[in-house]
Amino acid sequence: MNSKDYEPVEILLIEDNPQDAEITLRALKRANLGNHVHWLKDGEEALQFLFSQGAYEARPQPRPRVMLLDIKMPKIDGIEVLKRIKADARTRAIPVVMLTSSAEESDLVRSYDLGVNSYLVKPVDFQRFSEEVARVGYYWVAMNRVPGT
Amino acid sequence: MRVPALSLERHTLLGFSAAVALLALLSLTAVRAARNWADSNRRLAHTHEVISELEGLSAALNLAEAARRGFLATGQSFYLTERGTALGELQGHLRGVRDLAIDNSSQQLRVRTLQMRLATRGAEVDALIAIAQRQGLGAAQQALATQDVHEATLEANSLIREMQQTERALLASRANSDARSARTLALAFGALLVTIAGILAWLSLRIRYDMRESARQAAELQRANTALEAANRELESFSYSVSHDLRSPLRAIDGFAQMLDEDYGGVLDDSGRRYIRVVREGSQRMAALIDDLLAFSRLSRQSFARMPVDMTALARRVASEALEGVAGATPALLIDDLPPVSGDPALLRQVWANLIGNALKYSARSEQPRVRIRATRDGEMVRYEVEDNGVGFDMQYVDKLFGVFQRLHRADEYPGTGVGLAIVQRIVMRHGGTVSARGVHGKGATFGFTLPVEAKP
Repeated sequence: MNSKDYEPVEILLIEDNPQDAEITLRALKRANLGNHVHWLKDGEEALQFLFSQGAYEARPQPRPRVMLLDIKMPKIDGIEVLKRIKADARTRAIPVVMLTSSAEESDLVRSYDLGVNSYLVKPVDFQRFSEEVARVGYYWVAMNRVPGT
Repeated sequence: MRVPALSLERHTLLGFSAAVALLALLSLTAVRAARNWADSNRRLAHTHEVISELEGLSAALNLAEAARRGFLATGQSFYLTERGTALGELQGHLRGVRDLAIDNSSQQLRVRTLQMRLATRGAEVDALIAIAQRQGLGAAQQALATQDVHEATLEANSLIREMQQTERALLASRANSDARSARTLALAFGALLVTIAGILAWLSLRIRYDMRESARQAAELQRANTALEAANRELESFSYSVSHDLRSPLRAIDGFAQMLDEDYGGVLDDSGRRYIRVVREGSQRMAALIDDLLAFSRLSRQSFARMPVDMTALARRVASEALEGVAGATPALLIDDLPPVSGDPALLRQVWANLIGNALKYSARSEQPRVRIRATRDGEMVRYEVEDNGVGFDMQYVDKLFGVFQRLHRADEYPGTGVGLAIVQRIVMRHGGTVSARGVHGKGATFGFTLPVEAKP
């Protein structure tokens, strides 16, 4: 298969909770950002996807314009994913936005230590949540510049 | 574990007093025994002296007698010199015995009798010597024959023996009592030593026990501390889970209710749409409760800064922010000059935000809402007060005000989760102060808190 056969990924959503994922996807869609969103359900899958390993071996390494990363996930959590991404030259430039329920100071400190680009606490209120997701998606996809684009 | 420190202390004190009393008693006994022993020793020595004086007396008497015999037999004058010396010694010893036995009347009587006998005898011998010198040895020997010389000497010697016997008897009895005193003394000293050894042994045991006890308590404290740290960590991970895991399903409830409304609101009637609204309000209210509870629990864990805080500026800033959210009649808000304190600015800001927010919220329905903030110095503390003319409260519920999730009003009357005042209390207590509230139902309320006066560096 040719790399052209793959849809380009602009937003990579890594979220283990299907309801949260559905709400996020809906919010992105409503903001007209839903066309190039890829949803992965845990950290392990995310790493395989980003480094073209395992089930994604045949796929060329993606360069999403932003990653929305949940923290609390089974197997490999968001902090660990962040650490691996920022430690590798191939993925270091991908902007990572933590999108999590945790407002714990320790998570914030740890994320910024590892070089996170932004940190958002998901509001319970759907309206506000939609607005924030739309704002973040718009900023990172439409306004932010990364090297090589 | 509670240590009965007081009773233990009393126990020790009692034991110590008893030991001191026992030591005093034994020391007194020992001192008295020593004195007795010394007394009886002195008496013993005295008796020995008397006996030796008596021996000297007897010897001197015999010497004088021998000198007399020698002179009367030979007529040589050196016998007279010898006799003089012997008589001098005799008198000396006699005086010695008399002085030594001054407290013994029977011996005194014998001394006097002996004195008389010796004087008589001395005079007789003097007369004989005079005869010998004047009329020759022959005449003296004749005169001697008429006298019972032997008898007189014997009598004197027997008196001396008698006195010696008396003294020997005294010596025996005194030696006896001396031995008794010595025994008493040894006993008292022995008891004293044994007691001291006992007290030392008890003390060393006691100290060893105390040291073991304090080591045990330290170990116990260490264990309790470790357990507490573990419990704290557990609590932290618990509140972390609460924050994450309770909010996710709530977001699903709220989000899917909203999605239902957006996508299918058209096919629902008013009642159906109201149900959706109730679901969303419930989930949002629960989210607020969780957030407040988390904020409250974080208060006791988060670190705590201490720096000078300008309370006037802080209260003014918080008040102007709070006023922006007020709908309806603009309240009259008066803030006095407030003394600065030393504390955590972010936490103190939250105290003001909660108290001013409450004052504005509960006075919003008054005709002319009034909020007054003032402070008074009270010794080492500053007392800050926020007074309003709002709905107030019944003083019988004052104890409930600062409890977590405690509310005096229904949520549909005045919104809120009932955590605000609990947070105020916890922050003020962490600063070393106290909180208080006064209120009259329908007339207004005054919430106060004290903080230690800023310590001068």
